[in-house]
Amino acid sequence: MLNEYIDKYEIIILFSDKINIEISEIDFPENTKIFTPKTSGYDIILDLYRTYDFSDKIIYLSDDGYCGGIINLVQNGIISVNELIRALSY
Amino acid sequence: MDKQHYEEMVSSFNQLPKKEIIRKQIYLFGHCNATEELADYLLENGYKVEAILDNNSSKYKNTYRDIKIIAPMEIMKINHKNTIVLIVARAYAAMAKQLNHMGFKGEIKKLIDYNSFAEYSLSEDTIYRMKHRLNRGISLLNAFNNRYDGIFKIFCPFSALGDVYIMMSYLPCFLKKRRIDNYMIFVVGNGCMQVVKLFGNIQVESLSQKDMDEVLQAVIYTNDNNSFIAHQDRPYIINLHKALYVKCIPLETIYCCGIFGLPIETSPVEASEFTEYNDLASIPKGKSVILSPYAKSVTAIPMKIWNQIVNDYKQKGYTCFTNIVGNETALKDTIPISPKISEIKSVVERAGTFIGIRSGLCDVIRNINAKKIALYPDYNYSDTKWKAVDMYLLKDWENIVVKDDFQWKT
Repeated sequence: MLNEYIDKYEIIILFSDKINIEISEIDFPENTKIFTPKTSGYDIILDLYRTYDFSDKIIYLSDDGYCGGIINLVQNGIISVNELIRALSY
Repeated sequence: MDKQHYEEMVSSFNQLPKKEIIRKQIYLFGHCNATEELADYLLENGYKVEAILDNNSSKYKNTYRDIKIIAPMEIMKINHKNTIVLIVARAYAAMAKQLNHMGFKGEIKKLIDYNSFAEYSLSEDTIYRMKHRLNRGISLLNAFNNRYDGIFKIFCPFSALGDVYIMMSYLPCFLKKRRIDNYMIFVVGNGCMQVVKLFGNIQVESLSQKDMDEVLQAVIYTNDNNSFIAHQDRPYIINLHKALYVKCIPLETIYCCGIFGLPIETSPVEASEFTEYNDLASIPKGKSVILSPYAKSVTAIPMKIWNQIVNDYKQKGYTCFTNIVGNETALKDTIPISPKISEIKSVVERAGTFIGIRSGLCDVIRNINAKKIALYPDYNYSDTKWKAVDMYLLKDWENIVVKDDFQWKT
């Protein structure tokens, strides 16, 4: 299953439930797969992603508290949500 | 390149099948100090290097020891199936990806593993090995939790003096925000430990890079709420650098707002625990210049520039010193000097003038009372379009970008 996603999509974004961004209003780039905790496979992918970096296509957006992240830049007004999405699509 | 990485580079190269290497055209990717050291090693051992690939077009008129610096796409014009690209630059993953996207069919070999977190494979063998790595990290994290029960742990994953200095300068506000009184710092290397101690009597421990990487993996996996990883792009789970693809954000702002989540108007704390160098009398007061030409992972500034600077100051009657560490050598016609990090302030203030390649040492002395000049090699920050001077500009310094036609002006 994992290989299927890695091969098929250019960007895979895992949104944790700690992020205060309305995903439904965001216009994501084509060929992006979004996972939230309610999406099938989220837990498996996240578990492996926390074990090691197995793909440079995966972005995990969270505020887990043990590190900084690009979400902090949005919350502090350094970048906008639109800029966030553009940044993630590179 | 530090000794450990140099040895790893040599060992990795020597593990490549010699009979195959001698039949291939050798290219290097990413012009930096480390790549120059690899080129030196190869040339001195009788290998020919066809070219150095680099994405910075301003370098294409340059050579290093008669090795051309060319655009990566140029490699596709030859029989690239019979080539090998050796990489000692840090951005191996991005470089390998770029070559693969171009359709490169030759071999790509990483000679130094700066990034133990990444294995772009879902093979059973890879998952097995990486789970074992994680388990080692969990054991180490548990040992720290037992040894330092109740103490909040802050990890600085990368051995860079500047990163540690900036981190320490915003840490007090972060700790106040989180209401943390009891904490300790983990760094890699003695130099980084010395930088932490500039900020006071703080509990700090140095780990090997391997242990640091493995314990960080454990922090990530266990979601350890008694730890904090204080870096802008290491390990991989931190995605702050992506913001640089759309906007130029100075490194200090990334630390203040991106890592620590502090408001942009937060004032940094400055280091205060400096000590006095024990031979200040040997430095003519106000008529000396401290030169700092070396930095680990930054392209070197050509020696002819340093020679121009030394000649200029000697003609003005200055005594010139070169700050050296370990096996580094003093510039021609200068006196070597090796103060501890805590002593560098007294040395530079005594001398009156500091001229250095932009490095973490410049952060340590950023606010001291002297004439301070930072020289920026003309390179892009990581794989972004921003120049180093955009990311690390120093306030109240003379910041000079050294381009190819640079001449030191008296």
